[in-house]
Amino acid sequence: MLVPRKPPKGFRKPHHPSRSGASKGGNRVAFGEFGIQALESAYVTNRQIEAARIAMTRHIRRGGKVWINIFPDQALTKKPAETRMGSGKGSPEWWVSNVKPGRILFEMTFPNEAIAREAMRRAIHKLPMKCRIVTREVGEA
Amino acid sequence: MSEVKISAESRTEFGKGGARRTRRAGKVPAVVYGHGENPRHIALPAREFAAAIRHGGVNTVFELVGEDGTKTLALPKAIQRDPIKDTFDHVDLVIVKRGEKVTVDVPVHLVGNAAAGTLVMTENDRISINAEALHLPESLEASIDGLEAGSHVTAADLKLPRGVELAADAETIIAVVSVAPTAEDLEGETTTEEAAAETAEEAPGAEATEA
Repeated sequence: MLVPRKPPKGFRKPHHPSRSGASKGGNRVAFGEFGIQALESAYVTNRQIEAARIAMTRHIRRGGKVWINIFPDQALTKKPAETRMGSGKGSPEWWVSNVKPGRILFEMTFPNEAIAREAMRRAIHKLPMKCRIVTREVGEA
Repeated sequence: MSEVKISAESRTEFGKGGARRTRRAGKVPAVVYGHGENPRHIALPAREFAAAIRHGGVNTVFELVGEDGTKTLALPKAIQRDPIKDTFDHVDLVIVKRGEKVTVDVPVHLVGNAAAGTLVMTENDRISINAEALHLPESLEASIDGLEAGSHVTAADLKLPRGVELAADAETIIAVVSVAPTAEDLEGETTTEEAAAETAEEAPGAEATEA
């Protein structure tokens, strides 16, 4: 699973990142032929990213390539169960990527489009928000 | 490629409020500049503009017809699109003259099938060329037919139409043909990443106990 090597000092227990607005970059398929594009904002955990990647790679089995365009670099904290309020902020519990609408999450190259689409459809089921499959538009501005 | 006639209304209101009102009215905010002229803010009909780009590509030359009947030839320099709705947010148009040579990025399409058991990866899907503004090719083609693993297609391999020169470096890589990853390769990725995660996952827990 994807995890930062070491969180930067002062960013170990950050506030929840903003979920408003649209993705400013990474909105176009840049590496592969097909991509999975987020249509809603969400925190995508490293487990969800890994589950989606496995769903794709297990379906295509061989002959293709998968790119992961997001990285879970934000820590979310949680207080332990049955704990009274106060006594400081909880400990880091999840590593998430703050995804906003329009962001390309995964890209894929595979010779057979039908198999690639089915693999991405399976991957979308592992993700916490609405997504769609997009294809690379050659030479778009 | 011949130029596409399109009406251009001049814009009087600017900023995001004005731009949004323009878009709601079914128009695309645009700016025209170049050849030492002052920039002009215009609005183009969204449906006609989208149709022209869809059929002629991003290097379609437009003949802008102003409200007073003045005609200007212009080439899209930058197009901003909405990533979700795929509509046009704003267009930068640069004025061109007949016979003038311009440098533009042209889409490159890969044609043919590489050898069996290979994977073709596109490195650059656009290439910079010099050509006359009114005779720009819609796209260029690069053949990958029968290419074996380990080979690649460079800009020098492109077949350029007459009057078109390459502006980019001739050694710019267009596509790379490599051996298709096997099932073991893909599973191998999983195991290495899981091993890395196990070591990294210990770190937040250890820090939490310290705090």
